[in-house]
Amino acid sequence: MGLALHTTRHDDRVTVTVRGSIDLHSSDELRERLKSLVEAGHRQIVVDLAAVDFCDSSGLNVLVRTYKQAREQGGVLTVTGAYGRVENVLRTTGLDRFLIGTPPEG
Amino acid sequence: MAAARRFVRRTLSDWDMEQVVDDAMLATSELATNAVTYAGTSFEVSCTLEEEGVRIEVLDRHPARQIAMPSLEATSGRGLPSIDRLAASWGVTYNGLTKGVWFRLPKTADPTPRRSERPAPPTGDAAPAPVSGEGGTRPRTGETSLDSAVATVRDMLDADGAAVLLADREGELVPGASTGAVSWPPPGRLTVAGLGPHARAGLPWTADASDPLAAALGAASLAAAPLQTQSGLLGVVAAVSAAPGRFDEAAGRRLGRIADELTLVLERARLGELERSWRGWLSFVAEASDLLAGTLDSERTMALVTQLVVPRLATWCAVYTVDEGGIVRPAYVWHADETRVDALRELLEAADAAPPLDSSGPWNGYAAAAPDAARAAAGSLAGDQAYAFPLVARRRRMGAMVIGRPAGERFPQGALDLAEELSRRAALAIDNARLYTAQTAMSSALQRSLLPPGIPDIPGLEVAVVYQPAGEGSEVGGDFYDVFACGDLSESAPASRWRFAIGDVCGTGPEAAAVTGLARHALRILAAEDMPVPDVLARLNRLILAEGERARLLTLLHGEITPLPGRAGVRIDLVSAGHPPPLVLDPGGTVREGAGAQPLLGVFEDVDFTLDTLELRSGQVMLCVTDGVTERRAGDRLLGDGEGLERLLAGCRGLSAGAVAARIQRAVRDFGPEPSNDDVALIVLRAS
Repeated sequence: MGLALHTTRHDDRVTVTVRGSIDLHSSDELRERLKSLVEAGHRQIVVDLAAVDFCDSSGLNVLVRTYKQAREQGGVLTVTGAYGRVENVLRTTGLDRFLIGTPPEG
Repeated sequence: MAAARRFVRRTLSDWDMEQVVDDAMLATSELATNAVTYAGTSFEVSCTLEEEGVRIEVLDRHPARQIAMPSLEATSGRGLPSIDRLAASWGVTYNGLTKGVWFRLPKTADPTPRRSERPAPPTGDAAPAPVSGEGGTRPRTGETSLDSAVATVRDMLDADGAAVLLADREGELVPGASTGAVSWPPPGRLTVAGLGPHARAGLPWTADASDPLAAALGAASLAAAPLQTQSGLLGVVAAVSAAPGRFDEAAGRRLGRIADELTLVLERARLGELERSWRGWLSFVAEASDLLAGTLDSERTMALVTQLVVPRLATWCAVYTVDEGGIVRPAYVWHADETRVDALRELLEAADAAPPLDSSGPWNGYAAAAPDAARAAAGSLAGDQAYAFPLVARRRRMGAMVIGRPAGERFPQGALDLAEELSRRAALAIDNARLYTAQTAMSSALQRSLLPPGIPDIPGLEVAVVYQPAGEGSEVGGDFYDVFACGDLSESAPASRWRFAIGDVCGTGPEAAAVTGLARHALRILAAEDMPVPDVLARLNRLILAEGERARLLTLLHGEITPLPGRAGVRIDLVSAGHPPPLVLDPGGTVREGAGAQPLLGVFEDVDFTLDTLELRSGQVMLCVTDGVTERRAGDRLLGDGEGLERLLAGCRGLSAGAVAARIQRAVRDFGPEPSNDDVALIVLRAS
C-alpha cells in the first residue's frame, strides 16, 4: 500500500494531505516531504490524516521528529483528521496532546 | 541475478531478437555478477532497442570501484574479456553516482547454428574435448567437409577410392567418410600407433599393400597423409587404388596439401564446438553461482556443491572440511549412483587421508590409505581416479572438493577447469555462510542479554511471559520485558516488592538495541535506589533524549507489585508511557483497561508522569502486550481492531497465567496467513 501526499498552501499555512497507510515502507516518503517543508522555512505545517487508515511507530517517529524540528525553528506542526486506529495510537502514545491542534477555521 | 537474466530474455523475445538472447543473458549475467561482487551494490539493467541491434547496460551505484578483471580477482566472474568475446562493442559510463557498463549486440548473431539452452554434460558430444575428439564422435560441422574432401581427393589423384579416418580417444582409427572402392577395416584393427613412421612424423606417404593402412583398406597401393595439428593427430586421409604402384611422390605431396586444408577445417569446427560448449558451461557456472549465493547455511551449501558437480562434471564428488582442530574429514559425499553413496563415504572415511589444501591436482590418497577390507567393500570405487581442488576464500583454507570418475574414463580438461571455477565460488559461498552464522550467533547473544535471566517467584501471583523476536536471526528487535525484585534486598529478609516492565523501542538493529539496553539497566538501577515509578520514567526519558541523534522512541509499561495483606491479591502501581494499555480480566469475563495513556519516552523534555493504581484479586488477570500483538495483520485487518484483544482476553476466563499467555500467543500466530514481521512480547499476571 503506497502513500499519496498532496500539499496545499493557504496564507502562512501549508497543509499536507496524506492518503493511505503510514508504515515502515511508506514513512520515508512522508519524512522527506515534511522535512523539505520545514527546511523551506514554512512555520505552520498541518498534516491532514483524515484519509489515513493506519499509522505504525515508524509513522509516529516521522511526525514526532518533524514536530521537534519545526519547533526548534520557531514553527509548529499539527495533525488533524485522525480517526479510528490512527486516533487511537495518537491517544495511546500521549502524542495527541502535543500534535493535535485546534482545527483551523476555513 | 536470475531476475536480471529473465528480464533480458523477456525483453529481447518481445523485440523478436531470440538469436542474441543467449549471448545477451550471458553478458548481462557477467556484468551483474561484477556489480554485486565488486561494487557490492544493487544494480539496474536497461535494454535499448537500436537500429543495428540492442544496447544493454548494467548500472551499479558505486562509481569509485574498479571494473574487475579476472586476472586480478580470480575468485569469481570472468569479468570483461567474456563481454569482449560476446558483444560487438562495449564501454563504460560514469555519472558521479553510478557506474554503467554497456554492450551492443547486432540484430543477427553469427550464422553458426545456435546451441541448445542447456550445456551438454562433458561425457557427451559437445564436451570441451581435448584434441582427439571426445567419445569417438567427429565434429559435426565437419561432416559435409569430410564428404567433399574425399570426393576432391579421389578426383585430384584419380584414385579408385578415398577415405578419411579419424582418431578416437583410445587411439583407434575409425571411419570418417569415404567414396569409391574402399573397404573399412573391422573395429579395433587399426590404431594410430600402428601407422608407419611417416604418419608419426606428420608427413604424407605412398605405399603398397604391405602398408598397414593400405592393408586395412583393402588397397593394392595408396597415398596417405596425416591430419596433424599442433596438439595431436586428428586422423588420416587416404587415396586408394586396386592397382599396385598407382601413386607417385608428387601425388603424396598434393595429398599432403589437401590434408593441411582439411585439418584446418576440422580444427575450426572443433573449436567452434568447444566455443559453444564453453558458453553453455559458463551459463551453468552463472546459474550455480546464483544457487550458491542463495544459501546462507554452510551445511546446505556443501550439500549443494556435491549435487551441482554430479553428474555434470564427475561421477562422484566429496567435500572435505577442516574442523577447529585442523582435522580434515569428508563432510558431504555424493555419487551419480545413489546406492553407492554409502560405500564411497565409508571408503573415504576409512582411508583417513586428507587431500592437499593448497594446490589442486590429481589425488588418490584415499585409495592408497584405505585398509584392505574397506577397499574390498568399495569394489571398483577404490580404483577410481580423482582430482582435488582446495576450498579457499578470504585466505581461509576451509577444505577441499574432490571429484571422481571410474578408472577408464578420462576427465576432459574443460570439466577440470569448470570444477576448479566452481570450487572457488563454493568456497566463497561457504565462507559467506560462516560469516552469516557468526553474525546471527552474535545477534542472538545480544538479544538474550537484553532479556532477564529468569522470572522471580512472587507469592500469590502467577507470572507468565512470551517473547518472540521477528524474522531473521541477524536482527535484534526492539521489544523487551523484565520482572525483578526491588526495595530492600538484604539477604536476611525475603523480597516484598517487585517491578515489571514491558517496552518497545521504535526500529530494529544496533541503535534500537542500544536504547533497549539503556532502558533495561536504568529500570533496575533506579529501582534498587527505590526511586518511585513515575520518577524512573522521567529520568529514563531524559537519559534517552541525552542520546541525541541515537535517541529512539520508546513506549513503556512499568509498574510495581505489592502483595496485599492476608494473601488477598496484589496492588499494582503503574504508568503506561505511550504503550498499549494493560487489560484486566475479571473472573466473570469482563475486560477493562488498567491504566490511562501518558506520553511515550524519547520525544519531549520535562514530561511528568502520574501513577495509576489497580488491585488484582484472586482469579483476576492482567495482560500486557507490545504492538506486535495489537498490530498483527491479516490483509487490511489488525488483531487490535474493534477491541479484538479485549474479546480475545474475555475468552480466557478460568485459565492459568501460562494458559492465557499460550492462548494469546497462538491467536497472534494464527491471525494472519503470513508470519508476523514484528516482535511479539507479552506478560500475564494472575492473582492466585
